[in-house]
Amino acid sequence: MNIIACYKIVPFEESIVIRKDRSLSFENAELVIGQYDLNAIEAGARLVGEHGGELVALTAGSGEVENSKLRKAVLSRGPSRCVTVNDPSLTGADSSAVSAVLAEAVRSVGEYDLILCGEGSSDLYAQQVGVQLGERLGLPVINAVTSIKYSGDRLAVKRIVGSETETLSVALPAVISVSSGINVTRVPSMKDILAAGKKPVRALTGSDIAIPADRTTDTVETLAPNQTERKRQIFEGDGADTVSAFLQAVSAELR
Amino acid sequence: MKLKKAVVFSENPAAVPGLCAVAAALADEIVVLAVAAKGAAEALLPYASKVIWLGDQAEGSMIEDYVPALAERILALAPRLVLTGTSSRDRCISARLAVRLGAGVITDISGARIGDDGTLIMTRSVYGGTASATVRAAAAITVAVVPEGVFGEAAAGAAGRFTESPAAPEKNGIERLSVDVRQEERGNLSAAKRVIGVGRGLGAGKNLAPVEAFASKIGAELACTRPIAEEEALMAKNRYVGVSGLSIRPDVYIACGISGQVQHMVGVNASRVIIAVNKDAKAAIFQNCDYGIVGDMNKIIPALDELL
Repeated sequence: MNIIACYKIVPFEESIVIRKDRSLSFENAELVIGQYDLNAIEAGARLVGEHGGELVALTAGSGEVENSKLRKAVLSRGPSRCVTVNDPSLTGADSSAVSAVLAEAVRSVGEYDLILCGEGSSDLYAQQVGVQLGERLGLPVINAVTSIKYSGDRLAVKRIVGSETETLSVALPAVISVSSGINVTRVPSMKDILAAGKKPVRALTGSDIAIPADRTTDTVETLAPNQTERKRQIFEGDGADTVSAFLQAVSAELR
Repeated sequence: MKLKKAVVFSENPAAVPGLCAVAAALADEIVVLAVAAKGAAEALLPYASKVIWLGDQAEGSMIEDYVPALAERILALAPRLVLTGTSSRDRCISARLAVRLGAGVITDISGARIGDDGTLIMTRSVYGGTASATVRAAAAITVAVVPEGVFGEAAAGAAGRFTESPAAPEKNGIERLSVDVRQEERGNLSAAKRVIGVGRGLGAGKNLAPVEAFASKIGAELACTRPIAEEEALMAKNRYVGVSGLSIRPDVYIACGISGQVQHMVGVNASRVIIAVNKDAKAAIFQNCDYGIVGDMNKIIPALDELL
């Protein structure tokens, strides 16, 4: 079974600095592989490990997709090669643009039976790209998948929807968004990391792939939330008197 | 100036009145598309200008199989806005509709308004809750995925017209083999009136028992910061609050041994009252609480427990 696992390089949210004016600074932000995309790569690696075939990693974005350390990190987790689409217009691209670019890019990857995506990117987390990609390709597509079994020419997948778990039979080729609960992702060994450096990477750009000219949404502003004004009645010390004075103050809220 | 028309659809008819409340603030005409028992569809009439009933869900079908029929009807209605819910099924449907409608999608919105130039403007949380993005709709149609309860309940009172437009499901290579009802495995933190949050000031895992005892005494759910769940593994991952975790809005939030970094506070800012216990007088939490006590949570909490 040939599988494409899609991923996004994102700023690690804990390393984003919030300025005094509530704007965000990404200057020193650490780049990482999207947390939920790791589950898609892991699911693909396990299926290929069990049933044979090839796992290819695919990403679209701007300069960050060329980060060689992260490309190696992706390739150390099971894929045998990597395809990147790098175009400056994809900075901050919305789910419609990303899914359109990925739909074009999979044609350059080769024959596939299954495309895996994470539930959402860990930066914007619209939870749209996987399902939009499947719909653009006109393939069977489903989200919230918590397990995948391959038998014959179909997949048996479990999917959590509200208080129900349903089992679905999915015809191939298909596109599936996996939930973060589907697996525990591996920690690559030093051997995996060294081998990853030798795996082939195909770098595509806007001249190889049609990039949508129009945006369907525009992000006008991104600001940290306003803090609510609080009373700030502070008591110092953990002695009995202080504790009871503190309790006196909060008792109305707790009783 | 409002939009002319919005279409509302959810796999769950009970979610529709809430979606109509948002639609009513943004558009003059609200058209509900319903795939449900006829009675359930008719019950939506007080919330909409029009309810178009596509019929009850066919035996052996999935609600997702109605995407082609929904898309066809939405294109004919030509609304500026389509609203749906946040369930996995609604999300799947929203993405498939967006492609078929050539629409933009804005998910998990926290606010919505019409700008001075008549464009639709929505806010949503990004970077795991670190920030809020203001997003402007730029396509002819925009699909919005709307969380329940954020905008309040719709007022019943519209006199909707009921029309029938029977539709057949169209499978896309997916068959449902079976369905099991799961047991809910956690207390509902998002709906809890009182929450006690535990941070690194807890120290050892054995210190959790007195906090649990206090929580059960005051009827509070327990939550934690990311390190307590991810690094110390002292509490379940589905209990961590803040960036990439839960956002809660209890009546009272008691932050114990929590320093109060933004990454945690974004998840609790909507609490009515914040009470802080921390031994570091310089902790940021004291700038952002209603009542605070400087002291060791492992002494204060048992003392409070005794006094209450």
